[in-house]
Amino acid sequence: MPVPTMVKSSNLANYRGREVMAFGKVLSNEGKVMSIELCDGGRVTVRFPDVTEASPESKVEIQGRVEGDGISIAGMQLIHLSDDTDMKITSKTIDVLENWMADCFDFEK
Amino acid sequence: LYDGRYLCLHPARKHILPDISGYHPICQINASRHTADPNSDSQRYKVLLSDGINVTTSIFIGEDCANKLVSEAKKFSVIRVDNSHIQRVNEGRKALIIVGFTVLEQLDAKIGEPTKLDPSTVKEEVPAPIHNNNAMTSPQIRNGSTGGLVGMTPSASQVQPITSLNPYQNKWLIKARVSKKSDIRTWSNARGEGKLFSMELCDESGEIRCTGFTEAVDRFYNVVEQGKVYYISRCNLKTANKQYTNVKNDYEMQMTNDTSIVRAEDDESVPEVRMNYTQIADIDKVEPNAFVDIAGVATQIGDVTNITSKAGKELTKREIKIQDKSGAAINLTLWGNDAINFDSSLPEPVVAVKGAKVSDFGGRTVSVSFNSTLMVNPDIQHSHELKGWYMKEGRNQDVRQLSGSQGGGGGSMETAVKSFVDAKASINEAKPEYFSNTCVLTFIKKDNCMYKACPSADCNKKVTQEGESEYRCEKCNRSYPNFDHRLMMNAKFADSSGVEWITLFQENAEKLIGKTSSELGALKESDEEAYERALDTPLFDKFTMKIRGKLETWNDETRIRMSALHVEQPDVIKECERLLSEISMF
Repeated sequence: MPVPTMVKSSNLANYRGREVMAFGKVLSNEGKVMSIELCDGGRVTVRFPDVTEASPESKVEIQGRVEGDGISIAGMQLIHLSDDTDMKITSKTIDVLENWMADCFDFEK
Repeated sequence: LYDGRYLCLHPARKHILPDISGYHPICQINASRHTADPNSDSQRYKVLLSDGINVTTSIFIGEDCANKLVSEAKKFSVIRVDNSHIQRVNEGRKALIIVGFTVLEQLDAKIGEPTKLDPSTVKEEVPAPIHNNNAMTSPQIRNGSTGGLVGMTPSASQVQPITSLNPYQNKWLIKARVSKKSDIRTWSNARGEGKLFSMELCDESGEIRCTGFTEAVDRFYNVVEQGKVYYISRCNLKTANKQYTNVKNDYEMQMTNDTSIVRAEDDESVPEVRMNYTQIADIDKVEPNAFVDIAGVATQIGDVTNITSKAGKELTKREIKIQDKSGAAINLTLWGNDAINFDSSLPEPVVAVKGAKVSDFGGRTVSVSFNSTLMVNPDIQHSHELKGWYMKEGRNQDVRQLSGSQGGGGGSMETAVKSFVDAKASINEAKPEYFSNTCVLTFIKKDNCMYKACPSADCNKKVTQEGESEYRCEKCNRSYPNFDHRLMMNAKFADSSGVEWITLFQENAEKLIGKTSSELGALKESDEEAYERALDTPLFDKFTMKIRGKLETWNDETRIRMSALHVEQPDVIKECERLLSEISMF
């Protein structure tokens, strides 16, 4: 099973219809719909099929499919990260993976 | 080009000016030889200069001229004289003294058939100079009884640049700013006692050090202020002793009984301090113990810490990490009052140091020494540019750490990060290698990792049991009813390059295990299984360590021995930043 590509808000639109992995902080949670601030500061709306627990300000990893509008994700899985997860480092790491290891990962330019 | 019109000592060609300053004549070197100067150790060359029509003897002085004459300015080179003056020598004759020149071109033969200039044909005409501010007439200063700030204010037309000063001049005047003034220092030895102070002077051309002894201290110390501009004359000029200064000048000044120092109006043309910046990224190539001028934004400011030197002296220090536009950061160490007085509440201040000393202790670090000048948020253009750059983009820039990833905070990890393989390659017989490494603990040698130690303070020697409750220490030469458990552990660690045995002593071993030696000792005596489990607990955990590796010979066998000097839990964020930085530099 292929590993979902790690994305940020800046390149989310390049992966419409594809399964991705994103990291960020929960801004608000209305049960099935969450607003997440991704690691590069951009905001994305994530819709889950069921009520998903995640308190505001908590750090999470989202796996899901990018919707046609390019700015929202149909969430499939949410993983809680520790509060001291550094989003700046995460964002830089995704840049490194995209710039230096594009052959190893399925990045779209 | 070289038809005689452009190749000239003077536009009228047959004259030697009484004042050549302001002109930059182009001429050809026909011959040169090194001469010994009985008055000083400075480099001095006699050079035959030609303008294609006549030749004249000139004196080239200074290290810069000497280096160029040896390396670039061969016979028949065409040069441009950048810095020179006319000096009256014996019997009223004049000598052309050159302190700076540029090689324009190397030719294979002399131009024309120049003949020796007959001094009797020299006319004392003085054409209109290009720059009317460097005439070498006597300064109009009268030295008052106080020898200090009295007398007529000299005029700007009498001032000459600092870089033109040399011991062959009798009368000169400079206008310079006191960029640094030292405290009064005293000495007392078999030959007597005395006091001195020194100051660094700078103008737009360069800088020079000036020292006053004993009486000069009384006359001038309290009247000269750092940062102010003065007219100064009548000091002795001698070859600079580079051991005591890193000021970039072959000469230095010594005050005399005739020295005159007159306050001048503050002139923006006189720089506040003369900096010749070295980019932080280039400090890698600078030799240890050299001095550099640096400036950077302080991204981390450590606390003041106290350490005891090998001589038993209590020292105070503070470490600051500074970063500049070159994409590198380095640790700057402040000592004593500089460390104490540094305002750590300032948000990311610009720190500039003139004459920072370079060290190779763990990669590269710099420190503020006795001869350095420390400036925080100085009001100079370079500082404002740095701050602007940092606020705009520098803050988010990936940086290469010259001083190791864990430096700058508490100041305990002042070493370069190296893998085991790289560190071992650097170890030689001359000195041990200090480095940092984040590695995984894979094995602890449990046998003999603890011993029974003398309970007296600071002894720690192994005791021998003589009775049921009697333990003898040979070092203290007495017996005790009890002992302390102490740890001396050999453990195996692995990083990406390989595996190494590392020795850990008491404190570091306790940090590794997470228990004190007393607790472990009690466990060992009461519950052997729990003791074994305690030693297994940290296996395959990651630790960041400062390690010393050195070559040791035992039974004719030379091996590398590594010991841990400091152990701590790795700072994941700092480690990630370091790795990301290394990858981006790849």
